[in-house]
Amino acid sequence: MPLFLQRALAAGIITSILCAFVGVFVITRKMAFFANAVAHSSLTGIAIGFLVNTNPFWSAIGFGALVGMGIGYLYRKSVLFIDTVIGIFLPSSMALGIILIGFVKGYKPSLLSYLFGDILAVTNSDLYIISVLSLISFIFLTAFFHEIIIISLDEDWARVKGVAVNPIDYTFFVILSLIIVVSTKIVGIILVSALIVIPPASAMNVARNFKETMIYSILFGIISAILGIWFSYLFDISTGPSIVITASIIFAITLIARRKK
Amino acid sequence: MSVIEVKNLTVKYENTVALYDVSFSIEKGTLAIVIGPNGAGKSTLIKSILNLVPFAGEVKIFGKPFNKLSKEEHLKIGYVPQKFNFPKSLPITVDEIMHLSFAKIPISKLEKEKRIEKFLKMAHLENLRNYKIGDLSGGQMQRVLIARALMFLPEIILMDEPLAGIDVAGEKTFYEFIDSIHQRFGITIMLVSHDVTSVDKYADLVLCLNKRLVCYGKPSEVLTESNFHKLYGQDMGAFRHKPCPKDGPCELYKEQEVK
Ligand SMILES: Nc1ncnc2c1ncn2[C@@H]1O[C@H](COP(=O)(O)OP(=O)(O)O)[C@@H](O)[C@H]1O
Ligand SMILES: [Mg+2]
Repeated sequence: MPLFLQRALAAGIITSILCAFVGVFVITRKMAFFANAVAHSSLTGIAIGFLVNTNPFWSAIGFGALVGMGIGYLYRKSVLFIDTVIGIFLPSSMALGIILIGFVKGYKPSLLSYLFGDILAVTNSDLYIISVLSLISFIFLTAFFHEIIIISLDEDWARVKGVAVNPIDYTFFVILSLIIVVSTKIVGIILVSALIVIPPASAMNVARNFKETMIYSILFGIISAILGIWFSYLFDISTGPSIVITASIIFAITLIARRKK
Repeated sequence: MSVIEVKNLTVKYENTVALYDVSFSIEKGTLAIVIGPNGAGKSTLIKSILNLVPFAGEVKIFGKPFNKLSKEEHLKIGYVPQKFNFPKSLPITVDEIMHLSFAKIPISKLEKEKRIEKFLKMAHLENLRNYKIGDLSGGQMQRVLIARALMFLPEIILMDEPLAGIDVAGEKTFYEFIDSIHQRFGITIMLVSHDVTSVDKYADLVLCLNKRLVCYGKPSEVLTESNFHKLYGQDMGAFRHKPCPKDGPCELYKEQEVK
């Protein structure tokens, strides 16, 4: 197997596992919009990176984390018009990103590769960043697994029982943003919410309890990544869309399996 | 010793004043029942005691403001919310809810299992352990919330209309349990009830709420016609069966001749 493909597979599998893991919480809390908003804002982060001459991956991550906390704040305040806020914020942040990228002198980053991902161009240093951030995310999610579930299901009750809801929740928003921005490397800004939403949605079709939901979600995430990357190599199609379509096919199968029950 | 103290409590939501200048205290071992019409601020009262809504005034529980409570004291407070908002499509079972709620609580695994078993049984849920909560009826869900609160063996229990959707037999079991723990172990209970008839039988203390504290005291002293009038704007008879009032929507049934 060529080295670039090995790197692609490694990056694809790591991010799919994380997305599918955190996705169960995202669905439980009805936060799919969050993934889209953070992903779209990452374009502005990337542009800033180019303009101030640092690694755009880092600036996208930093910017994404800030936006994640901001949107998390609005979500927590249960602002009734959050749909509208996101509806304004999402295209605006993307438009700003596109304009800012226009100002970049010299080497112009390829918009398409950010919008749709370019997993086959993952470098060693990208893989390094992805691994470190994934490890941090994984440690947080497992250490606070119970607290996050309790907060997701019944925040008031968590507070009564003395769970440190605010610190845990804001850390969760930051970690979720990290996972989202890192995953845009794989499937791109436009498709990243699919990695977070589709595997847990498929899992919920067939799982009989929460444990199974977690296990199936991660399993479906891994399968989508491996098959998706393999199909893209085999048929010479774009990798991000190939992963997303594979995940959707799994969703369709689980839906049929559920109807049969 | 008062375990719940409320002084000059006022709660405002954007445009509505939900509670105005409410003061009272509840002694250890009291079974207090809060009554009042819809929108009277009953849920708001429970939530302000638990520091879940911003408020003006002073609220103390175990003699301290809520944010000064220790981890152990937090665990001694039981809460049964009026509503439980969760995504119905999420596959999570009754058993998992109980175990997850107990996670990281410093008691042995064996003890946890024992309590879960006992309280699910008390709530008549033992056969529904592996049911997904999305498949439960409203009354069954309510019983899950009650079992979840009680399995911590709390010393103060605040319950917001715990009996909504529960049948008469279940209600009796519930009140008998509540009555026995508060008498035998001095557990303090504050519960919001829709049903005025059980108040008479079980309550030590009645709080009638209609934004203000309209009345406060022993059931025999408080449950009077005049207080009812102040609270609900009508006399007690309104809570018994009556013929259709003239020109009301009730008349529509007659016209339709329900068979
Ligand atoms: N989160 C909220 N935002 C705005 N208004 C609220 C909120 N919660 C309750 N209210 C209003 O406050 C009043 C008291 O509500 P509540 O405490 O739920 O009454 P009860 O439980 O006695 O029916 C009602 O008028 C209700 O509409
Ligand atoms: Mg209420």
